[in-house]
Amino acid sequence: MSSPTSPSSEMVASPAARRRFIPVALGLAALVVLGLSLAWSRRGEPGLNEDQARNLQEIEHLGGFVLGDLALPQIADALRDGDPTGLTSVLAEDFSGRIFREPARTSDHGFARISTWQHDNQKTAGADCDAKELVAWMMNHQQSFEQLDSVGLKVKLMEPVTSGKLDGPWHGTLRLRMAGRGAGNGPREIRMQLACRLDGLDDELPNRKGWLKRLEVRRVDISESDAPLMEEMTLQTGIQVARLQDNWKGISGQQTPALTGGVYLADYDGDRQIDCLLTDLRGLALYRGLGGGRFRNVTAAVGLPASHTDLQAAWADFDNDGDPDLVLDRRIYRNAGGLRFEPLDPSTTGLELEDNVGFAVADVDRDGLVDLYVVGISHRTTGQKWIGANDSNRNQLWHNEGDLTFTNSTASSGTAGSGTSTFAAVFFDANADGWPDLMTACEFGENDFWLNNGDGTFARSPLPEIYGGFSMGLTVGDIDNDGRADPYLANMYSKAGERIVANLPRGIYADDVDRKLRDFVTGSELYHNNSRGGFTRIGQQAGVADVGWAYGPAYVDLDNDGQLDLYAPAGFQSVTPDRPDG
Amino acid sequence: MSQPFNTNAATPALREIDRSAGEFWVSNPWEFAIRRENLSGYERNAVFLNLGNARFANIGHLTTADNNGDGRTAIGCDITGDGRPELFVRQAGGGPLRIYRNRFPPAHYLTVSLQGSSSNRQGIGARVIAHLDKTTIRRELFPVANFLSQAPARLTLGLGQADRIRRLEIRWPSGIVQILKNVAVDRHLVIKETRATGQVTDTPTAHDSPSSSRISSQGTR
Repeated sequence: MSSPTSPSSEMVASPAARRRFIPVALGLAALVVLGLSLAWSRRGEPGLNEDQARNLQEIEHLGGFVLGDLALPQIADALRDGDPTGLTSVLAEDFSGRIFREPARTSDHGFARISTWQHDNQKTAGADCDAKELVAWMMNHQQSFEQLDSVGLKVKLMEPVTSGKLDGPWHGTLRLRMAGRGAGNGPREIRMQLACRLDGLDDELPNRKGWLKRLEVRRVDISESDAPLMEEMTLQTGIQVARLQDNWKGISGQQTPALTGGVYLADYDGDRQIDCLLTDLRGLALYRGLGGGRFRNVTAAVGLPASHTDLQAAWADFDNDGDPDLVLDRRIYRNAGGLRFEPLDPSTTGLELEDNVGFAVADVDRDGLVDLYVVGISHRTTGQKWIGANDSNRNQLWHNEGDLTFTNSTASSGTAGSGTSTFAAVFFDANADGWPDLMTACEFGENDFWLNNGDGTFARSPLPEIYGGFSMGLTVGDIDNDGRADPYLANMYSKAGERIVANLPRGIYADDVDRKLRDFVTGSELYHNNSRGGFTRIGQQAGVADVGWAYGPAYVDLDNDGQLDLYAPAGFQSVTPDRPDG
Repeated sequence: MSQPFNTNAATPALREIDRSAGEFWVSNPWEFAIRRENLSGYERNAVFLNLGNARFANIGHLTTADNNGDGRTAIGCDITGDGRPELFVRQAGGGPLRIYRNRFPPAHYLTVSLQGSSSNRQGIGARVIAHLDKTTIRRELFPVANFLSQAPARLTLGLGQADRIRRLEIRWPSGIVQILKNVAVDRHLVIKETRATGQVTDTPTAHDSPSSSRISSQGTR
């Protein structure tokens, strides 16, 4: 086996290096499942017993670590190096596989060509092949790159074929990604969904040959363009990014901050140029847009507090004077003609904001004044839990009474939410009746969705069954231009979490809890607004579920074709580049 | 819900952890904040191209905007004045703010700002519907706060090959429906809310200069 010769964060390390980094980095879901189960079983509550919990840890050790971190790099190395012998060496003598022989379904978008092999029924997808054919087929894809920069092969699922029987055969699913430059020198990427089977999986597997019994190619996506479709311009904007907190460059103190800053765009001075407010753990800055993608720091000139380190903020023209005011630091800063921001004392505005994580704005009663929704106000903790309401926070709706005064209409509107670590809220007219409706994304518990009754009250409305919670962000836009906007939820997800929950024995928990646990590891979700006031979950089939540990996503029509595209940030905490999850 | 889970619970490693080989065990997920270990580390941000029929393709690598930082929030917005939206990506690690210039091939567009009179001044909550010859583009003006961010209170409508908007319909929160006909594209249009009940015909002037210093109104006389 050869060592990598070019640097890449996705490049697998040499065998020796790999052995130094043996992650059992379980996802949040996985850990909580194990931890709570044990805690309960000791009290006689439903939960895993110690043997079952140990079994899960052993499965994750073998599937996630031994296979994922020690054995699969043999395949990734062979693909990166264009080494058919290396690839052949891991295939069993009686290996069987499936590949696609028919032409791909290809669509040419002018700026990009996208090819897909996929069958609705994955079990019957493709055609049977032997080891030689599989190696040749894989090498053909490897050869389609003029330069192959990065190869990543990750375990998505791995479980004993017979539940709980670790010394028998195993099966699971893998994700392969190859990225680099294609024949025309433009960027090219191949993603494959694979299913695999092993006769056995133990600590010695990486030292053997012929351990892979079966490999089925279930879906292939190839994308290529003539040139990069975007180009980083950060350093040309004049925004001083070096002043911002970057955990990769170091942290102060013991704790790695999960959240470090925000970005809030508006035209605060009415010159038509977009201005940029950056909140950050290291201080606040307002950048005035100069045009042409250039910005200038005007924080002090407009009277904003550069030392402010809270991350949440919101723009809205609350007094209808033609320039957006700013919610910051638990108060409103009145925008005086785009020249100065004047902090208003809460005693004059009536706005008593508590600790929160964010805001949303809309004129909920259509009286001509923009109202303020406050998200994730710290409430109380009664033994935090992550299924069901957990009383950890509340939201508030502040009604704009005019003259920059507000009254708390949370109770009368019914929009406090179910108290489940709300991270974000969006207004949109879900049922096209002209009234802004409201949806939230909650880290734990259940997400909320309310229809606006048009009389100052909201009616809690159901979301598709089970799903909710584990959401870290939410956006909304009309993906099919049918007049009914389609929310997209960014959810917590880790491959380890998915693996462990898949191996969780059934019948341990009550049915509703069990189903929810399994639902927690399905990735991000797209709700298609089905025009009857309800939503259908289409994230998986639409191809937008597989993101990773996701946060605040954005709909944006990048190619201006009239159909909203989607940007989905992901990744929770990256420390050791040698063992990426991506 | 039948069971009160407890997020504070910790569980020990129940099998041998080979620490000398770098294996580690984290007994509670919140412990990651003080343990320098990966959790969903170096995952690449995704860029999903809308293919129509509720299908998307991840073209992250083609855009180069698929960096592997610890992404937290993103906004799309044109800041170069060419109508193509740039991306603002805010991250906890791997570049705290990364701005990507749009190099997609140009297509027709219309950027719309609203100036409410009986509606709120920014027109938040308005529906903007662009009827083109072959299709209809529907948007709502909400400055979305997806998490630690906020999009600006303006809309950019991608129009593809359409070089005129046959009919542009503004449904204001006040209930006023304002219609502009035969609207010229590839510019930033500021639309003032009027109480006119009939159809209003757009009389477009030259392209609005991005450097014009004050909001002007057009097409609403």
